[in-house]
Amino acid sequence: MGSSSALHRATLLMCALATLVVQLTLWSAQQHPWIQLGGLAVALAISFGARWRLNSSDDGRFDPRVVVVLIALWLIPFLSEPLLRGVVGVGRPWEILVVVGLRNLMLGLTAVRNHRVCQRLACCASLFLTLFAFMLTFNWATSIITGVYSIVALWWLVGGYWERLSGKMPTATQRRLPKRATLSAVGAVAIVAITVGVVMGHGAPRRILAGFFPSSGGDGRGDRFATSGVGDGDQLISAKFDASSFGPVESEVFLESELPSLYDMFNESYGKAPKAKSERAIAIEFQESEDCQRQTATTTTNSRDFSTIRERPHAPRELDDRRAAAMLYLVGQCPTHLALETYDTFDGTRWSKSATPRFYSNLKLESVGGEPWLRTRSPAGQLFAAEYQPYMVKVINLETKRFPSPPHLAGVHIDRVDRLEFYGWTNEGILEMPNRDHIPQLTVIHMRALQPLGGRLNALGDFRTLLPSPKELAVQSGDVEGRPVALSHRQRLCRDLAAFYETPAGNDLANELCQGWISDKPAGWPQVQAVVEGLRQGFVHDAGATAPAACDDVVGYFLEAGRGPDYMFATTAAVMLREQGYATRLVGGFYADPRRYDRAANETAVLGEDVHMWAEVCIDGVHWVPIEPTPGYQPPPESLTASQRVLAAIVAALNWCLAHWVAIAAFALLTGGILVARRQLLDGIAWCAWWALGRGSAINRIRWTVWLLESRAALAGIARPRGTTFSRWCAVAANALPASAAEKVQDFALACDSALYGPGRSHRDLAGLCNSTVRVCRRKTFQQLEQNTLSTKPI
Amino acid sequence: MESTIAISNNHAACGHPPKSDLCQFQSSIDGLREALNSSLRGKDDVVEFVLVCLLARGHLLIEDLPGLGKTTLAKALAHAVGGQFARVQCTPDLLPSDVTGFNMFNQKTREFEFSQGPVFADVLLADEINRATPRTQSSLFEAMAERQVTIDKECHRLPATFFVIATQNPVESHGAYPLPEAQLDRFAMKLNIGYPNRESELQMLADNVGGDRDESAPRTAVVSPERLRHLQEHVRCVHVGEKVQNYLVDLADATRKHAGAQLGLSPRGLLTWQRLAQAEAHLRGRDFVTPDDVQRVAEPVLSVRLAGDFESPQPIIEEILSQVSVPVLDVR
Repeated sequence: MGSSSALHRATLLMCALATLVVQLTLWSAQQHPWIQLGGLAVALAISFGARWRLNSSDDGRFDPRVVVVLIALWLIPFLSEPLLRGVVGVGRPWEILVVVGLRNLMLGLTAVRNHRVCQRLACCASLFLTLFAFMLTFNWATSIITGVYSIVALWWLVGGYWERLSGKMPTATQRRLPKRATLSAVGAVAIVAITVGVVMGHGAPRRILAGFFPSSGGDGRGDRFATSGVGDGDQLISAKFDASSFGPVESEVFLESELPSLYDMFNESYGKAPKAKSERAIAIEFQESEDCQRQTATTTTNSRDFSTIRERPHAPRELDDRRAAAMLYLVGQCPTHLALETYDTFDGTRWSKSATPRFYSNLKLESVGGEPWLRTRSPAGQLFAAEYQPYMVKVINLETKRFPSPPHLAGVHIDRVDRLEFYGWTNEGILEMPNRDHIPQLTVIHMRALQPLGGRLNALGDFRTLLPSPKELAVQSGDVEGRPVALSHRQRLCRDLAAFYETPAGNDLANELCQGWISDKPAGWPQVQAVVEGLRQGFVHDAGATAPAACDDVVGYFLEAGRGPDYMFATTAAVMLREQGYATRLVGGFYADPRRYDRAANETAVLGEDVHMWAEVCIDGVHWVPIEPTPGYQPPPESLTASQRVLAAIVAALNWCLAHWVAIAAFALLTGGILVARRQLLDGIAWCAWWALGRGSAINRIRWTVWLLESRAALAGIARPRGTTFSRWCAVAANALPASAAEKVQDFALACDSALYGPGRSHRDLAGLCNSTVRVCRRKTFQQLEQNTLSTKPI
Repeated sequence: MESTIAISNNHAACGHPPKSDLCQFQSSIDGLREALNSSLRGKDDVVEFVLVCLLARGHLLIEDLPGLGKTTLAKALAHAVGGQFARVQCTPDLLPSDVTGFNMFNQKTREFEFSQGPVFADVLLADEINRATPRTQSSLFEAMAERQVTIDKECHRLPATFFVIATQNPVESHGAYPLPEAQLDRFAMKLNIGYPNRESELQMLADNVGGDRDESAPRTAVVSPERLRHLQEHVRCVHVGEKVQNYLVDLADATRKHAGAQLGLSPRGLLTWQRLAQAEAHLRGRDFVTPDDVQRVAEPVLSVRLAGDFESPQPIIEEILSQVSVPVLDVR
């Protein structure tokens, strides 16, 4: 006991036990045994291959290449994970990757254990791994191994102490703070922290730390390879290994739950409407049986309305757990507008919807890849991209029977729901599950939608000509009323669209403003875009700037106030466009916020606070294209070609630069200034360091003065070659200096030789000599020397 | 035979010499320098290296063409130190006993008597040493390394100031026996004298007008062998700091790891290098060695020891010196 070889063997044994207990833990967690074994074999091969190649001399000297090997061992699980997930389709959660990386590191340290630091680090790593595994998996096998490990570890500690006592260790040790390494590390951390802080803003540390262990739960992130606990992974929520949790998976039974409805969220987000009016507005929804086989929108839901006169909203409720946070999860493109309600009629303060069914799009079930898909819309025309945009909605806390629908919904699929009577249209054209109170919680809804091709809307021209003229509308509306006769398609179109052109009286201000925006724009979508941009750029989104209860012209109030909540933006855009002859409607629903987009899972958590209102424009009597007039909300994306994407990226970058030109200019000036004056700055810093630290003993003064001179020469681009002695370097430099300066430099070189290499004598006036040398040898002095003056050739 | 010289100063054991000693020996060194410079004109650097080698108790190998002053230098040195000078012209038929001496039967006394060879001199010039057979070359091994010769089981001590100057001709390779590495390692330095410059040759011609100088005329010794021995002991005590010793070890390690050198510096060579650096420091009036001293003597030290497939070791030596960091700020 006490010999180094015995300690080596003890280290080996401890690491072997730690590896064994970790493997047992991983196997008990069913973490793909063959992957674990393969990873272990690779780590062992690299570790002991490195020992064979790098430490064959076994002389205890630390080979710097070992660090590279250790870093490689640590990174192996993290680098191989994307490959396994992408190619093989299996994956491991983050904490397991960390443990496997640490195990690899321990094996590498064990392989190079002839160095004492590596041996100790290997023991520390084995201790952590053993405790981790013991706490994670408590069974007889891990208990026995941990017990054996504790005995060996105790023996190792005693042996190490004994070895130190018996003189095998150095008789004296000198502890010294590695100043350069410490300063470098602190500097690097500070630079990274400042960079992250500048780039990511104030919440950067919280966001970074939140994602460090994503499967530990509660951080809003998801990992489909998470194992157990309170995380968000797909395997967790599908209860694959442990049926102690549940989630929105396709195998779940439909559950009943008493959860907040959409209208509670409207009230939370926008404030409650005045009570006198709300009695009329909030009607109890009435369901009536209907014949779903007709495949038409025949539900007879009573109309609801949306008042634009609302109380100031309260502060959003703090949501303290994951289950209460999300209304739904959207897997797919983000941002996305998910429509739940549409309103057609506006009376100046209140939006309402008529009870008459308006849309007659046939629903049809078809089999796509063996799965039942509901087709809600015909295949794409020239306006839309050929490929569908896929979405998946996981219903969590949303209580409504309507499907949160992305724009231009084309198809819906719910696992094993292959009967048409499960689907139907509302009067205003929102897909719903008729004859139900709400879509069951934890339902997973697959959707696909059409997406307009980039620029096609602008190429439509004046699409108002495709729709009935106001005169035609007036005639058809009059004819329809009270005449239940069969209507032609044109007549039905006129009847359905009449309400979408109606505006309240007294919109002079809106008209005037709108004319200013669209006067130079061609009719059609450019005019719509001009109105949207005018609102986005000229007005401020303020959720608290509600209209007073006595206000009877919300649009006029908003235009004068210059700020307001999103429904005022949407209302104003709709009214302005109606005044210009475009059919518009108000839409309520959810906005999938990109700030909550989890790129790894392609998933966005949609919360209650994401309730949003926007407007839609009818372009051909069938398709309603959403517009986003509220600043801060991104408009619905279009399907762009590669060149359009590049162009859009360039434009976005330029816009960002224009928006931040002050900061960019300041940064550029600062950076340029630092670059130009970097040598002066560094010289000043070096001089300050010399002045502050170059005091005390003679050797300290000499060292700091030599350091300052060499730093200045390096800044001047003529650093002393490492093979040239300092005195020789000074002698050559002195040849190019004036006589007085050269003499001082020569004197200093002699004093330096005496102090650094001599038996301990020092110059009589060393402080004065150092000061005078520093004064003589300024950075500019070195700059004046030619590059080849200081020969790199040793004497 | 060995004359034990009492070192009066305690610094010889462990300390470094006081400054006063440096001044005390300066006149002797200046005298030696002047004597050698007057014999070998225009070769101050060679003279300095010869002095360094002498003060470090090393042996000198001069590789150069005939007629460049090798013998003149050796004889001048022998005269300057006041010792006995001997010369051996090495040929393939030269026997070891011709160098070391031999036991001869005396008919009168009926006993064997030892007849000393030329090796029993203060300064031995082994001219064209690479023309002697390896057997004869090896007879110098013991003399150069241990300053003694063993003949018929009897050990004979050589003078304490025994100093070998060997020459070899690089041009003639026919009939030459290259010195083995073991023999080369016993030389402290290898020098090239080279041709003198124009001014030196003119001065030499001017001095020669009026007849040949009488080589047999007695000359005054600058230092006695005892004083030289004292001087050598003094040089051995010049301070070598830990940084410089680390630097020496780094350099030696670099010679062993250099891809172009098949044979690097031996530990004996490293010790020699340190002694030469001490002598160099002493000649420059310092009582401590600096990396400059180490670098100055690097080329003659390494050129005799580095072996490999190259014409000249100079590029390798320069590369090693430029690659190994000089200790300035680092603390070992």
